[in-house]
Amino acid sequence: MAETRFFLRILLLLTLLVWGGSARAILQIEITEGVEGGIPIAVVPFGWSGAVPPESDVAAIISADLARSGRFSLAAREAFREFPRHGGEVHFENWRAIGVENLVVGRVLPGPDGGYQVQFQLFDIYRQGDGTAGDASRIKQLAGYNLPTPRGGLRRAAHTIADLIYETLTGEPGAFNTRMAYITAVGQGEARRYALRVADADGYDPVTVVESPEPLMSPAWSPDGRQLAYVSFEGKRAAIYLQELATGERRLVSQRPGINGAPAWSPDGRRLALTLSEAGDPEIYILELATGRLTRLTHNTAIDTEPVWMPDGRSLLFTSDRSGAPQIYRIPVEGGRARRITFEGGYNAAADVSPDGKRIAMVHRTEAGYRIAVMELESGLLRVVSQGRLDESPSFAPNGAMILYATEHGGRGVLAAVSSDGSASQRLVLQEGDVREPAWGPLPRH
Amino acid sequence: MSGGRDTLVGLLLSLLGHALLLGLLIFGYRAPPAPLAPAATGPVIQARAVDEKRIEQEMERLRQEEAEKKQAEEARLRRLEAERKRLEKQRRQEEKRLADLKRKRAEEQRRAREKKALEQAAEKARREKAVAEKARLEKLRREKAAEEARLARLKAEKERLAREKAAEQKRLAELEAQRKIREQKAREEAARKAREAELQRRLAEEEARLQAERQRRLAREARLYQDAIRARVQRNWRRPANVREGDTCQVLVQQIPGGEIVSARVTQCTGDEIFRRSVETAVLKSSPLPPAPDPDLFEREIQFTFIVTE
Repeated sequence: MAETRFFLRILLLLTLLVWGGSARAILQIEITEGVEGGIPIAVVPFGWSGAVPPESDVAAIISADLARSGRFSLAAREAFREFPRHGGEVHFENWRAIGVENLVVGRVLPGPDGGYQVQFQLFDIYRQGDGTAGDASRIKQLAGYNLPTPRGGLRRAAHTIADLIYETLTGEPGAFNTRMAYITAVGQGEARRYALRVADADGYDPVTVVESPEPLMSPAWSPDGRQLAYVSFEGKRAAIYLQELATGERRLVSQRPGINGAPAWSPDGRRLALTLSEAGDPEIYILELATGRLTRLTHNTAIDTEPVWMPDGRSLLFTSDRSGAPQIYRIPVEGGRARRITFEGGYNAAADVSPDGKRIAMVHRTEAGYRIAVMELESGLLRVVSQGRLDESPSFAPNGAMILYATEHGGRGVLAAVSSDGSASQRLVLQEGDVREPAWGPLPRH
Repeated sequence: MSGGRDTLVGLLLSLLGHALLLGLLIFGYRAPPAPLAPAATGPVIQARAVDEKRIEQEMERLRQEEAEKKQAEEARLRRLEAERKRLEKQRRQEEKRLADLKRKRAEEQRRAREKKALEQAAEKARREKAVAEKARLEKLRREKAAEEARLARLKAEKERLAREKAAEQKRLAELEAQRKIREQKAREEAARKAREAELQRRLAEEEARLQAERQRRLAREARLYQDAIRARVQRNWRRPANVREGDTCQVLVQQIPGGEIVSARVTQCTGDEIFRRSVETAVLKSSPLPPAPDPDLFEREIQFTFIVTE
């Protein structure tokens, strides 16, 4: 009995020693640096079954969305070694071999009423079924959905899938299933016609909201995404309208002498900030939509315009040349002293605020021209993110990851998108004519 | 006593001789000299033809010879007279001599007596001396014998001592030789031990040096190894865009020799799922990890700590 206890004690001691030894034996390595660059991902062309091929290449739309965000590095289809349509067909070595970390596979199946069932799975190539590398049986599925999709809705389904992938892999909501508003001008002279249009965020499926032989300007989304405010010169005078997208119903909210411009919805959607010049020079006002009550915010002999709300609704940014050149100022919503917030460069205008309120995008004049710059509000750190000569009208995506802006290409105005860190930019392919003043719509309400 | 008598006899004989000789000189000696007779009858003239001159010459020669005989007779008479004188003188001298001799003999006798006394004394002394000498010699002989005996004893003793000494020396020499051998052996042993100790020390030094060298090399290789692992994982870590500064995530990795990762487990993480996945992916994507340059450097478990810094 005593011997047994002694033996057990020795065993315990040995165990402790071994444990102590192995605890010390763990190699400690600190990693403080990573690499920049997109998440390596491959989107395998979706398989399909049915009498006719699907109307859209879902995988291509997803890939384009992800690529445009700047947060992903898309593997080229030519590099693929296999084309699995569901997880059971995936051999992760084939994807590790080409440096892919995440894999999207899917199928488009026929659904009721000529629609579809879109199935997709997102895999982590480096993790097996139980989330460790020890179980080699299955790679880990990070997301998998079965989306009933009406006929004609494959693009939207693809954007939705892209959003799901984006959110799964970045932790932030995607903004691919969003829309944008913009102004087009087609034709010359008397034949020139203006239109306010809304399209998917990738520029596809544009819809004309309003058309006019007189200029249309400054579209602005209501926070719920149901209405647009815009400036129209259709009565030869500037006027601000609100228009329901679903019904086309519109409402004139401001037609005062002089300038009526640059409408901006408050985050709660009940007020509109705008620029009026009835007092002589352009000043910022706040219009209460329910009552029509107008409050003047700035009192200044310089130009004050292009108001934009901070996400908390307690202050606004605007452009003023009160210092002699356009700079961005901030003013409390109840009025008071405006503080200049931009100091770098001699021209900073047309600010837009990121959804988290931490950054602003603006037109920033550089030696090479007018470009879009992003500035951190807290640090004042400014970073030029666009490459054009005449870039204007920046508008943050509702997830803050990208910025739409207008630029010139081939002698005409086009739209471009750039990731908010400047790492990826892409021109949007739109129809002919000049395209200006994009405004990125809010996330769809679920 | 006999010497005296002899001397007396001699003296008488001498007197008799001298008297005889004196008688002859005075009385007896008148006979022609015998040697002349042959000379008168000897020369016989044989020549038949003798010439006048030769007769003359012969006559001359005869006259000359007669002259010469007369002269010779006269010379002989003179010589006899001289001889008689001389003998006279000689007799007086002899008498004187005899007196001298007598006196001399007395003297000699006295001297002889004295001499005899002296000789007797000398003899006595001589005898005494001989006795003494004999005694002395005897004594000497005894002493010598004793000395010789002593010497013999001494010699024997000396030889014995020499033998003993030789034996002792031999023993000592043997002892010394043994001692030297022992010392030599001890020295050799000590030298051998010293050599061995030196060798051991050098070996130990060499071992220590090699060990230190190996430790340094291992430390260097360990740094390189860790750097290689870190570099590979860093290359594979895409920091998510939404990480917050200061977020940390620890991943415990098990590898097998060769670097293949068999498991990776997040043990602690302040970030979100995206952050967790990014670090897991960074680690898993790094499999196989760089191989350990030395088996001693291989650690089955590696804990990676990912830290978000600006």
